[in-house]
Amino acid sequence: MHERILVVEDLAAQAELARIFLAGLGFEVRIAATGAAALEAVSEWQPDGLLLDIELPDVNGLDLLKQIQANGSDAVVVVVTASASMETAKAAIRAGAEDFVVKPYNKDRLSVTLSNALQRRALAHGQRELETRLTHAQTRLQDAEAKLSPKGFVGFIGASEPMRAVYDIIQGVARSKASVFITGESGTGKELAAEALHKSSPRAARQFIALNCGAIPRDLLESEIFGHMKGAFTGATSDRVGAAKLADGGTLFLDEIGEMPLEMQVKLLRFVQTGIFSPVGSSKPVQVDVRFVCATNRDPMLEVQAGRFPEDLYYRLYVVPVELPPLRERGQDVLLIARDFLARFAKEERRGFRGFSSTSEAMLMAYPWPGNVRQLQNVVRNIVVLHDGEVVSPDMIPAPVNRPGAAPPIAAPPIAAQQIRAERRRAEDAPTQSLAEMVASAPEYIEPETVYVPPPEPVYQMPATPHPITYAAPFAAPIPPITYAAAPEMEIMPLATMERRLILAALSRTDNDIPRAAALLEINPSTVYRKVSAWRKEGLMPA
Amino acid sequence: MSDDHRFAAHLAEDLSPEDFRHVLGLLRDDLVKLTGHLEAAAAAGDEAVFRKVAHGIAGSASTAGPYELEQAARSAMTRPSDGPPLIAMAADIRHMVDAVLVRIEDTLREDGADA
Repeated sequence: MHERILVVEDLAAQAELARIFLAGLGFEVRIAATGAAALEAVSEWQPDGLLLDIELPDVNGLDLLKQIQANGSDAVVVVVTASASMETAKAAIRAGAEDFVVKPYNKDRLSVTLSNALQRRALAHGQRELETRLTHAQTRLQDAEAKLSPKGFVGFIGASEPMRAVYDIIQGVARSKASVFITGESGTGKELAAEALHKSSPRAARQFIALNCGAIPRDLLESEIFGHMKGAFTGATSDRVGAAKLADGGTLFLDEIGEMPLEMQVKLLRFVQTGIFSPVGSSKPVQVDVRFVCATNRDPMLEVQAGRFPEDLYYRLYVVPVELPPLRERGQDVLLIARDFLARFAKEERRGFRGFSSTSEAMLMAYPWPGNVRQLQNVVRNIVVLHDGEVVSPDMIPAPVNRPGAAPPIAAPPIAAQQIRAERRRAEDAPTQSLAEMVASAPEYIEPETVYVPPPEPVYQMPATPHPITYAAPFAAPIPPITYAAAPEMEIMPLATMERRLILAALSRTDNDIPRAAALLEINPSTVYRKVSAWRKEGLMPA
Repeated sequence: MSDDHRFAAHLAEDLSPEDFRHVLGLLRDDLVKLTGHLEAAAAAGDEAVFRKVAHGIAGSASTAGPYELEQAARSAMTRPSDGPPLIAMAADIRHMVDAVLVRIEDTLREDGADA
């Protein structure tokens, strides 16, 4: 392809002479007689070079040169002047010209000047291209290193095959605006995956807003997502911006989306389709640019088939699925994560731990971790809080991780677990059903996370003898921790009473933070809200 | 006139006879137009336009090689504010342009006859 030269010259003889010379040198040539025509030609034709007369009828040539360059053209410019003064030459170069020629010029002079200028431009382009390639190569190398590194990828730790596949999907989809649906068992790091996606995306400079749909009372969910106006409902004492607006330009992560009430799912569908919503109490629509990332620990397709999740919404959100593997399928990641937690918690708690003994590591590797990374985190935290030393020895590892062969069952197929989980959720939705009834009505197999008893942290401590429970200060020491070994000696009481005590203990432990208490109990926060509300009505706890 | 002939000959070396005649014809038209603009600027006392047009004449003259005309145009380009009157300078340049136009016509006629 011939290089393009735009001759900017108002005198016909000069322009024609240049055109003949340049055409003879193999260039494709166009002529612009005014500055305005030149600007238009540069924009539309995108020449490689300009032969620019310094005196034009409508504009000074040097001013035109500055304007062309300000418009982003990378065309090389050779200024033509009838004045051979150094001032003119300096002014031309200062204005951004590559070179200049003085009239009269012949074909050879023009050829040398223009060819040199174009070669310098080509070299600069080549250098820029090399730099770009180098940058891309470095980025790819960093990505590859990140995936292979034990430190993992954007907050994740682990280099197992299943996790590398996850990293690949996250990286692949990060640049697009496509909705992402993250599935995985509880504790596998769904929010971490959503955040990694956000941080890897062009939206990283804007907000990542995470909302746990299951942790928010149904009545408040719409307000949490869309915001509300002052006076929209009792207690709305001022305007409040919702998550949708906060996430404008960024990412909105809706965790436990399956917990969202159906009527709210319909409103969400409208928002996902149009990007438009109205805050509660306002009829004024608000348009935002939000990327949706959702997560659930249910099987979304089963939820659709069961009529608990709108099909339209499913297809809007389930564009790119990311399935996080359970920890038991992540091989050596268990140790990488455990070591990272150990280092982090040892620093926080000012302990001297530097690693695990080989036997301890073997115990960690043998355990199936039904509570996934969250459970591993709790176990390591427990070790660090209760012990000190340089090496974590087997006697420091709490039950049930320290009991070979006593691990909770985890062999049930995932779908069965999903179904049981769904059954349990449905049971939770029945406001009068107690935990005892739920357990009684559940299939024989109970999902591991519901029977797993974490290490002996105070939250699980129970009173030695029954005594009145108060919400503010429920229990007194000394209280033996519940362990599998101690369990047979526990006081036997109605399951509903036990349930209430356990929930109140969790609330006390978390300063009445219901989502955190629910996380400790590994149940849905809405269950806690519902229970607390019912107990208050029954006078079983202060209003 | 010897300078005129030498440069016109040099220009002819870079161009085909057809292009040579074409460029000379355009040059003639440019000089006629520019000289008219120069006289108008002088009559209006517009020094800025006068210098700008003189720049165009100098460039055109240099292309074809009429050295005296080029020098006169350059003097007009750089004329000090207390220099010769604009109208007088324009008249001198007109005189030289007329001579160049005759020379161009002769060259075109001779070149056409040769061709």
